[in-house]
Amino acid sequence: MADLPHNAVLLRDLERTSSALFRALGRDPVLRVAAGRVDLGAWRDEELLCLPQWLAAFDDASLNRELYLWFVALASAFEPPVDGDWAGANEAAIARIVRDRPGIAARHDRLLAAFGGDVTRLHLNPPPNAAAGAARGVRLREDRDDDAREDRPRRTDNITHTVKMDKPAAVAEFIRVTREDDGDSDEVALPPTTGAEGTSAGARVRFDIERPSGPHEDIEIGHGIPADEWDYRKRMLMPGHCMVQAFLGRSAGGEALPERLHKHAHKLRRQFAALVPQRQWIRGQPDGTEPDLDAYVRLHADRIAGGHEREQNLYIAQRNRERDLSCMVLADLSLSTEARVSPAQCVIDVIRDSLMLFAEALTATGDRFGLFGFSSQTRAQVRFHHLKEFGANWDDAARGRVAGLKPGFYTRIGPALRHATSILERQDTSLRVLLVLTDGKPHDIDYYEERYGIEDTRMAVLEARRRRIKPFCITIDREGSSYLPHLFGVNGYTVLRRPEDLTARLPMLYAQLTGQA
Amino acid sequence: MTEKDHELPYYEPVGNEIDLFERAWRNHLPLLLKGPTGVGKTRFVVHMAARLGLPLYTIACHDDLTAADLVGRHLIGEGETYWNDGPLTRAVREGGICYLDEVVEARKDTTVVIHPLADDRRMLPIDRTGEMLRAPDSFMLVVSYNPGYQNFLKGMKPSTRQRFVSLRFDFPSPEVERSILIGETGCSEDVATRLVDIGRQMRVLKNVDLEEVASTRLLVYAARLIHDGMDPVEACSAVLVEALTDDEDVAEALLEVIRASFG
Repeated sequence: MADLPHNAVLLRDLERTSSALFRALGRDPVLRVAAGRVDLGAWRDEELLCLPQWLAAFDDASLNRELYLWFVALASAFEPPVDGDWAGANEAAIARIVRDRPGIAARHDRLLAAFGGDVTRLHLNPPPNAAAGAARGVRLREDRDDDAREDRPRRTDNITHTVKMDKPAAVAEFIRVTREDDGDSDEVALPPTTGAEGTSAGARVRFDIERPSGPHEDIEIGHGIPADEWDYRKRMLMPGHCMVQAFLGRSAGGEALPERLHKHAHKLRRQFAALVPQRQWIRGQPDGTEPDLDAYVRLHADRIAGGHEREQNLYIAQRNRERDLSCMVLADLSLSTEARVSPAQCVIDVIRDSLMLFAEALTATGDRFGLFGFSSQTRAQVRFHHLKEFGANWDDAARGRVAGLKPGFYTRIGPALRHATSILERQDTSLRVLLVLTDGKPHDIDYYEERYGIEDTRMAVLEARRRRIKPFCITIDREGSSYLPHLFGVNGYTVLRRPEDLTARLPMLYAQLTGQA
Repeated sequence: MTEKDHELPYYEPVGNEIDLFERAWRNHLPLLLKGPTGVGKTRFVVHMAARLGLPLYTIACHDDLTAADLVGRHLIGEGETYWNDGPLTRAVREGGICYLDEVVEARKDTTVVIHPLADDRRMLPIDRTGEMLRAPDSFMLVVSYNPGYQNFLKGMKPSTRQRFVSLRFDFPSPEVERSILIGETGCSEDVATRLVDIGRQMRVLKNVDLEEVASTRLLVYAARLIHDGMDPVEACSAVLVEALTDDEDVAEALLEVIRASFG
């Protein structure tokens, strides 16, 4: 992006503002703004407004900024045409805004003048898939009983920030996939454009979308456990819709803490020992090391007044107050965590190190904690990895399981969250914290994507809250996070711009979240 | 409107709350008001106290509020001590209304005095003096809390909440809110309509971009400043934007919402 014109305004600098504005003007909390390809202009569909990554239509940067805000306002009043008349729909929306919103009417006039009266420059474009979707329609045929699901054209390849996805999924975005069942293998037809050498148009290849973990095959624990899923279109919780399979990660061999983490771990243990509440003075005790002056004055006054003689709790005493809390860390182990953050490190490496250091820090506080991971492969298998159980010790075996973590599959967060909630709920402490580490948005190879996945995850978060569990999300999704507030609430998440910060931030966040406990 | 109504503090009913309050009072039942801040809980209690002609003792609860602050204490004077009734005791003695605002903020030991008053015993034990006060028929206990401040360490205990008749307050409908703004401030119909519209757009952002949203009280403040001749965008910026968020990006979005309406 080094060669951007000097007058260009980046959406990145305006993303949060425009997202919030879109929600407010559109009166729907689920609306959001995403960055899209510059040549596609601005377009919206149901809940998403896609704006160009940067705008440099005018020499004056402040006008480019205004143009962004104009598109947000226009999109909030826009109704997609039923007859395909996009120009007409734009004009109707503009007329509505100019009538109802004097402030935006003034902006409209300014921009129109700057465009030399060319009103089409102020229009929203049709969504790219409205034209191309039919040709590139990706059809997923699922269970027959899911008749409510429409065939939705995928549009992910037009949004830059979601292109970076689990790899098999990313491949599937560009090719025609006809799936017969939730099955193990898929027949894939490559369209001419992506045809590899020697493959003629329409040639059929088979490829296995499952990635067997090879020698590090994890050990299944018990049978599948049913988990619910929320279908926002039916507004219905579907009980037992997913199957959660627990795994005990195979240890990469009993392992001590890696040498390179020693120094950091030592520092953290010292910091966290300070988190354990110091001994506390408690007033009004029958016995103690110091007199309670307030209580003494009160008693004296009562006596002179001829008041009732009461118990003489005239001392203050020191007590150790226990931190009555348990914390679960649930790490996203989907394939996208294989993405590189630096030439030497992938996201999964950062997650591994963070879990290690976090566990080291927590052993210093004595808080109950468990480490778990999840990934998924359709609703038939939500994989739930037990790295360190609540009751277990943080020992070499547990460290080995963390060290042996391998990314794979997809991110079906909702059912994993519900399963995590049910485990955490059994911990008998007054405060229960659920930290979710993830690097992207809810997504699975079946219909679990976009609004469906987001709404299901939101519902799972609400359910956890209702059960008096405090969920908190730490995301290392670098390019787009506008959906996070909707999922976790305004104080329920944090975005790490640089994934490598996680190692340092995770323990600190925990300290902050549980500081009052 | 009867003549008496003119003397009452302004209150715009949104449902059956006045009837419910009066029935609870007649039947010696305590009342719990819940709802977000600034939707008129306190104003409602003030209005009802005036309507029923009862003295009102309002206590804003905080985390240092003890049972002694409610009940009273001995004070030391020149060579003697004397007993000083707390506001709760005074309300009981006079047969008035005691209103504990944000009751979950109070210390746990306050429940010891609230519980026997809130059930059918209607007693207030004052253990300092050994006195046992029985509440007269006209006494009423009213408490409020804001379920929005979800704090895991400070929830309202079920054993406490189940002693109260509960009444939920929420943001009024646009029509009611408009007449509240006009009734409170005398602002124009047009200003009231725009402010209500701005408020409703901002409320969409609750729990997404904002923790607390624009209350009716804030809209009333904005209307008052505008009515006083202040520039509408500046007034809204001072009252609505800065009060609701410290996040600059969100503040910018709120300001855009205001500019869109007031130009």
